[in-house]
Amino acid sequence: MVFGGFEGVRWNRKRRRILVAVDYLWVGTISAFFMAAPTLEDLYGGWIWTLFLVALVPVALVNLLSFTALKASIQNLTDKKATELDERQESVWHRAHYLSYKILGTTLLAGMGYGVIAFQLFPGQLWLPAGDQFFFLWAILFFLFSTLPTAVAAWTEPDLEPEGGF
Amino acid sequence: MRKAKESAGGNEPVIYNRLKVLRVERGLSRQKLAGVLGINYQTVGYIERGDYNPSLELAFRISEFFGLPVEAIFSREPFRPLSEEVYGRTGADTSKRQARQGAG
Repeated sequence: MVFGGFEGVRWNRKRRRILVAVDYLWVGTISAFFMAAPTLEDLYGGWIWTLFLVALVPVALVNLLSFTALKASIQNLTDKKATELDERQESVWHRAHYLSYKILGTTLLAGMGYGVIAFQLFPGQLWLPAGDQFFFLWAILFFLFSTLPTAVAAWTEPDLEPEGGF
Repeated sequence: MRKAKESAGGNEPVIYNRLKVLRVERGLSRQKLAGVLGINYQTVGYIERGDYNPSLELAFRISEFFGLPVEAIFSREPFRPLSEEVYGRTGADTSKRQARQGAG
């Protein structure tokens, strides 16, 4: 847990879903911007990179904070070991990782399929990542790999019960 | 009397339970019951709300704790209200009685 202040966060499912959607939308927007950046640089000049870096830092920080809060709001169950979970939490843990594996696997296969088609069938005609964009793609994959189980669990978990309530 | 609508598996069979009635009857909080059963208090809430069907092993642990047969706590059919089961009173009887009291 990076920020201990989130321990008491108990968000309902609607709020958790909004946060997950906003987080991924931001990352998607930044990614699209980065992929289009060489073209944008042609259009608007080098200052577009400064804008990009200025935008990237707050997005990264907000994502870090929001995923820490999301983890707390589902009782950090995607970070726990199987021995620390009860049977329901364990089934949520397995489902979250299974769905994440499917999403990440599909994304990777689709990306590789596109790469093969673009490289072999339409060389020079379709967009392919170049230079720094490869590293950024890896960063996106790492982000998905590390956040998807929490996002899936936060998306699917029903509303939590008030602590100690009758 | 709650039924399990949707749990970890998605389309699980509907299981009704009387867990909340029994817990409140004994003056136990969710946390206290969860501690005794060795599960998270959220799981008690999910079972009560019908969001999760417990495993057979957990169902037996619950029945042993309350000293009741499993079928007294969990059922595939909706439970009749306790007042009806114990005293044979139905909702209609109660309404009539309330109407009489209101008239008197």
